[in-house]
Amino acid sequence: MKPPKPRPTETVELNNDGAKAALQASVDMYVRDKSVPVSALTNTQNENQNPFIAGQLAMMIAHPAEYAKMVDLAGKATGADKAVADAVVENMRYGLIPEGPARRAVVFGGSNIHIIKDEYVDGGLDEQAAKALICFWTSPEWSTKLARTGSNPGNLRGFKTEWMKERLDSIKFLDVTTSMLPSGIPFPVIPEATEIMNIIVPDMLQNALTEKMTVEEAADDAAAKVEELLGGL
Amino acid sequence: MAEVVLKDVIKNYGNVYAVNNVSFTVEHGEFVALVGPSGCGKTTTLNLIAGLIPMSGGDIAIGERIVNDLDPKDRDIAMVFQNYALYPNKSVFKNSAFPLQMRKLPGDEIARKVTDAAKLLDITHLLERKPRELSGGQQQRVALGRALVRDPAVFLMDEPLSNLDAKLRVQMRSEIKRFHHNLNATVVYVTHDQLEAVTMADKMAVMNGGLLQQYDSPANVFAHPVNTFVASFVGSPAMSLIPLDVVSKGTEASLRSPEEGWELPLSTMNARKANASSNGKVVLGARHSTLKLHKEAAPGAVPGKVYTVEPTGDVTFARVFISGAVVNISLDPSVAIAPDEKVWVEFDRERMHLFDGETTMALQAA
Amino acid sequence: MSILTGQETVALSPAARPGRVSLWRRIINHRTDYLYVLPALLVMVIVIAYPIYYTIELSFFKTPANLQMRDKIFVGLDNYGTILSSASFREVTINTLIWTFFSTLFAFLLGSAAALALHREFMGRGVMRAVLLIPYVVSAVAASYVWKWLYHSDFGVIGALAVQLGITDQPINFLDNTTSVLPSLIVVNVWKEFSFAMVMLMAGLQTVPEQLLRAAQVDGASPRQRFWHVTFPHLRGVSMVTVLLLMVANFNSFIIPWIMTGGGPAGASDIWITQIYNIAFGRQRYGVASAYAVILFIVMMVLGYFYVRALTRGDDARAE
Repeated sequence: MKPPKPRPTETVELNNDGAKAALQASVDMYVRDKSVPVSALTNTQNENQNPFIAGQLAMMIAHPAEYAKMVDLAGKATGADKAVADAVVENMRYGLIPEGPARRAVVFGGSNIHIIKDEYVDGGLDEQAAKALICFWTSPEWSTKLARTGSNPGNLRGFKTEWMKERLDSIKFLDVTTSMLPSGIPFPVIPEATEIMNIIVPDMLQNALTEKMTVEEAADDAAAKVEELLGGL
Repeated sequence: MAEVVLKDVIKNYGNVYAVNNVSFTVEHGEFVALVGPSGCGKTTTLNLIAGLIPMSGGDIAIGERIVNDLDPKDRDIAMVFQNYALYPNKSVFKNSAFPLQMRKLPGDEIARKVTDAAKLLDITHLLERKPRELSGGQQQRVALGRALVRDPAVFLMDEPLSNLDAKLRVQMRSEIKRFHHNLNATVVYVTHDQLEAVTMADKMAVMNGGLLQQYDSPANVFAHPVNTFVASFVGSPAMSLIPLDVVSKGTEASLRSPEEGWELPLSTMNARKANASSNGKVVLGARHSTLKLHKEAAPGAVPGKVYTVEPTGDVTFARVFISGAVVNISLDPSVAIAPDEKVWVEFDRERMHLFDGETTMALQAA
Repeated sequence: MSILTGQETVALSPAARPGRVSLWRRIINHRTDYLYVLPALLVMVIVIAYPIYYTIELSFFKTPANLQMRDKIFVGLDNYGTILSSASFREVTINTLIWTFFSTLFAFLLGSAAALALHREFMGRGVMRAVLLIPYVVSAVAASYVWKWLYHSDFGVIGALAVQLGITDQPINFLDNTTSVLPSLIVVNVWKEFSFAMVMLMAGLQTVPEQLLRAAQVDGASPRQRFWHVTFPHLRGVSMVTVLLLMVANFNSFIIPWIMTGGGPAGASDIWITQIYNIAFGRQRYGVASAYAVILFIVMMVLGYFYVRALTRGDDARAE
């Protein structure tokens, strides 16, 4: 079996002017203005939850589903923490991710279904059954059901179901997600997406924010890594 | 060289007295053995003299000085240990040089002293070796050398021969004796082996339970043990001890077996001693060589039963039950006796020892 | 002149060797012994030997993320070339050496100091010993999380204390910073494993012969000189073993750096092991990761060789 060739239709945009400007903006905030906490360099979303509910963070980038998490955390708080946590929940507001010079944009999450090749599984593949499952899984109803608590249905027709209305009525701040929908940019559907998103991009950010590299270098370095990755290292 | 004086020396750990009011004087050039069973306080006494452990009471003087509060290094002593205590990472030369280095002697003087000591002890060819490359006997000689180079007032030796095998022990025994003789050194020597003490020492201090039992020349300790403990500890085989009742008849007296009923008449002198007993009982002590064995009943002989017979070559030891006690008797190897044989034992009326039945002390004529 | 008359002859010649027995005969003679070690041997083969073999095999293959493992591509020594020529390899290796060297050094020094301090009799010694053993018995994972929060750049206890005591204006940035992250991790690691060195050396100290110390005392050595001439040489063997074990453990340490920083930020605390883990399980590059692991394996085997030699040198000396 031959190594997979780079896919010519894909171009790496991680070091284009827009991406660099975005990276520069992060550097400005973190390095120049110091308008984000020092720990933002390495904090994960989960690690922000506790400081936030403790009233130590003014703002964080989070999904509307985070609200439910905060309600949950406030419910577990005790003593003096309880009052603070309740106040935090009480005062929680969402805003849209700000608009940049070109447009407002947010990266979509999502999920993938993998159907394993016949030769890799015992018992063979029932292609009809697989297709039926995909149909079911991506139907308006089921995709709405799967995204029930926080997100948007993967199938746009899901918005037209009766449950969507019910969700918007009952789940606080869900409209924020819906409002961001037109600004969404799907991540390229390639097997390497995980590595790009979880390793190369965070490395790029850390390289720039720790000033180990300039914005230019960090972006180019990340782009080169993606190229290399797509080249089938 | 100097004398060592112990006066009312005490070492206690709470209520346990390891050394209890011990006093004795080691004359200049004397070889004194501290001897006793394990736990008797002999090693503690030595460590007190060395200053390795603090005293609880009393005084120790070395030479003219009271050394109670002096560090070991300032007491002008050298010590030889049971397991040689050589520094394993240092060569023989460096081991011997160590105490001199600690005294900051100049290098050439150290080298001279070490070489002299090595010559004296015949270890010159070993100087570059490490201790582990030496035999036990050689190591002990190096340890002696290390003590020797210091030219100390007193040599303290803590069971220096115990780690050697029996044959080497006998040999090193005479070497140490020779060492003492040639240097005219003052030596305090700890041993649990009474034979070592008897053979080597000018005087022996017999200790038991932290108490000094007797301090005298080996010959005197052997001939006149002050109590049953010393009597049974010194001499090999040990002095036989038989508890008996005193039957007093005015100035006369005899001893009666409480179990077997026989009576043993005493000499006038011994009768006076027996009559001095505090509770009407005595312990009769007799060395194996003073006893005579008869195969038939004989006048003045008391009955017994042979327990074991131990031939050693030029002499045969018989162990005989007499009035419930085991009595050692040395015999000519030609005497043929067998275990369980009924025999009669005759005591030497002049060379028997009498101890008080209660205090166990040697009885004096009243 | 000799004051000693007797001459003792010492047999230092090695004991006569028994006639050579054939290997086969020796195996037969010891067949039950082999039988007893067989189960352990089998387990070893399954859980150690096979993975080692498979790692070495994988190191010659490329395993692209979009292919099944069984479709891996043979690339010869390419993976080794990739690693050795990559820019990160130098950086990670330097980090690994710094990490291992300083962790080992300070853990050993601190452990020795603690062992010597605890060797003396004093009030509360037992309690102190128990307290100092805590880091060693605490789960590394739990300790890492606790330290992560102690160090936290914004909400860490250490930073807060520093500000309150007026030492700094801002909470100290321990981990979100490429220069201080590795030293900060080393501090945690030293804290975690100095008790190991302490235990080893305490055991060693207990075997220092009392008579030797007394001899040195009589010979006029001060406490310091006694330590230098008697205790220290005596501890050399156990020190060697301790240092080697610490080095091996540090080369292989994963939990503390992985949990506290994951090798970051920007690779500043990446060491071989975290790098290998990242390449294998973060980036699914099993071939490269295996090659990396093989390099580490070779280094560890060299260390292991010295370890075994340090351990058996005493045996050889005894056997002489």
